[in-house]
Amino acid sequence: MDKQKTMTARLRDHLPTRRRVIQLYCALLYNANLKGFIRGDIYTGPLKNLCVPGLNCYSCPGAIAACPLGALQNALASSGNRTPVYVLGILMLFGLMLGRTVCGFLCPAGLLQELLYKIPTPKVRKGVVTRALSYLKYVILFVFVVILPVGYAFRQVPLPAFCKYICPVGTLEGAIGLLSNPVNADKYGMLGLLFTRKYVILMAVAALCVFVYRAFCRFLCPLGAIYGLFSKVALLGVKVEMPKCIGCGKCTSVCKMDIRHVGDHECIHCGECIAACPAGAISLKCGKITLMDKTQAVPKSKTHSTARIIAAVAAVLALVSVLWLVNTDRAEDAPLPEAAVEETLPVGFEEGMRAPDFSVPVYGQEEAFTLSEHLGQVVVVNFWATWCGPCVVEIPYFDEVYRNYGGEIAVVAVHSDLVTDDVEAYLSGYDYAMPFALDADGSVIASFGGSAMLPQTAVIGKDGTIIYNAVGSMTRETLRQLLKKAGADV
Amino acid sequence: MQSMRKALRWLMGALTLAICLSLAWTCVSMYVGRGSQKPFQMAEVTERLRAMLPLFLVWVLLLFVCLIAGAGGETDRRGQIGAPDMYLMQRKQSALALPESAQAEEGRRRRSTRITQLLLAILFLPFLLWMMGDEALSLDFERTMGRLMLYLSPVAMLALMVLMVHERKRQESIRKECEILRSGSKKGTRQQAARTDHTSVIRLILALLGILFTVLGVMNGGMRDVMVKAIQICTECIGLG
Repeated sequence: MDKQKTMTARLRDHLPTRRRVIQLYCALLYNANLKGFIRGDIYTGPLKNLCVPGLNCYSCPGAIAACPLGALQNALASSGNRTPVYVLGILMLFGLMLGRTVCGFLCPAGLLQELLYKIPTPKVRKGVVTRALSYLKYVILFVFVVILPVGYAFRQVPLPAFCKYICPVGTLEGAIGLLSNPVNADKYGMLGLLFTRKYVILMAVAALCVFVYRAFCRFLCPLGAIYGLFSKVALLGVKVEMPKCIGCGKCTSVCKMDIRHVGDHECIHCGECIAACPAGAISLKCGKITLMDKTQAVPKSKTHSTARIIAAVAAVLALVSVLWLVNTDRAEDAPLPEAAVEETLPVGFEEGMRAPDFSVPVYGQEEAFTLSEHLGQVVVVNFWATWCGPCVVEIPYFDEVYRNYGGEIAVVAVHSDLVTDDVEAYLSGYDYAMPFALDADGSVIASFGGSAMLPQTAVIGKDGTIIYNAVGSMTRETLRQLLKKAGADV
Repeated sequence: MQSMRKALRWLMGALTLAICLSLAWTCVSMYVGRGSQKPFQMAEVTERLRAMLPLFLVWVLLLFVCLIAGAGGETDRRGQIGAPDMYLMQRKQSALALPESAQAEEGRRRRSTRITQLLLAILFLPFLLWMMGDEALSLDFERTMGRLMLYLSPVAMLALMVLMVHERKRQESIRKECEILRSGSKKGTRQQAARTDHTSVIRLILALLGILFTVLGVMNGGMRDVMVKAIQICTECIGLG
């Protein structure tokens, strides 16, 4: 009987707490686009105008809203054209209302770290070293999230540096999430040094999280650094009633984060200190309303328990509504109308097929660029956008080809239908010779099999068949080899 | 039993580390093996992961053994370091006046913090100035990142050491002040000035600014920018670019 009791007690230790349930709920809510995992693509609906409070990559097949950190970097990367007030406003409101309670309750990355920490291994205690390391996230925030994107923005090159070079969540949710679906098998060809480096970082962070509590959250996460700045003013959070406090310090010793006192910028408001406080001086409050204190086992009053039931029902209804909204097919999900195609050989976007004909208006010219008019020439079609960093970097390569081989090789850069900047104004800052066109309704990129990834380049042979059509950055050498393969004399 | 649980934890730690290292090595060896010629193919990746399956199974088995043996759950937290700040905060809240010696200790601590902040500024300022220059922000991103790591790493290491020394001194100082307060010295006590709480005002200002920024952002197209990026797969962000 004693053995069974011990086993039961052990199992009870592993039952999910209320906080864990909230974390799981949020992870499911942020990634409610379940059909994205089945189809191997991402959600493109209106909810992506909004940001979730926690770290959740928007390239994850399940993500229904934008990541605040990714959105901030992209907004700062476009700060040469537009002041990034929207994302700053959203972050201020999240910080003010929630502070680092986001880290403790609402962040899927935090949940993953805590689950990794549950793996039974020796653990590294907090100390002077971890306390000092906790300032590293501020360095990462200022260098990779602010300075680099803003610095490159004034060179008109979008660079979300933290997402590109460090973020392990993007690698896990975005890359592995997409590539684990066989539908995206062709995307494996795009993996290279960048992915290898990020994957190693992901493995290193995952290993660290097993031995060190919330290692990414404590040492590397810039979002935690941002929310930590609001620690003194956040409405929701763990607060200490100083008149009741006896100064025993049990709260800080039981806490696994690098806090100096409860509620400082390292506190994630998980509430573990609430149970540890012998004087019952600590509680989770929203303004003046107490949400959780030491006597949580029994609801305080009938009103309190009714309020809890209503909140739980509302939360479940919200989740079900979102799941229904994002997972049912809508008119916007219908394939885009394709450009007119010739009724001859198999037409399509795969290599070896006949390229679908299209006609796009060219900036600064009266005549449109029509593919069929360039039969007999090698044609390079590059799909790009001003807000796409890799696209902007490779445009000069195509312009060089146009300048040097314009008679033999036709080149056109087609801007995606999703325009955020005045493309003509953007181009006026450069001395490009090649034609730039706009795919206003997205039909051209759709007919070339493109959808949600840029840059994409298609190389079409002199007989109109597709030699190459793939998503991914282009180098000078690769372009030269493709043009040779297409029969151009380069 | 305790030593068996401890041994199981160490074994689990070693195995977990081995799996993480194997996964990282698999990726690196595939890249290094083929270089830039499409190093990753789905079939090959699947085959390599399948080869690691026995290791994963052993790991899962060991996890169950640990859970059954009670090696899971919270580990012993004796000696977990807690900061003495709470005692000091509590004494400051409850006492109208602090002894002069405690006030002096606090003054020393504040000076030490200022010196640390100055040292950190001296460490990071040249780096920041370099970052602002044209030389730093090259269009060859790999070169930029390489140079960034080259310049930032030693600065970060030095800053870490400065912070560690400061933190240790700070904790010693707080312990000293707590000792003074515990000893109950009333020599030369001074009245503490009551501090006005500006939190509500700051909250109101931040709330208004947040709402204003959000509305302005919607009006100037910022919200649409978020949408445009979010509905496209950021290939460079997920390592495909």
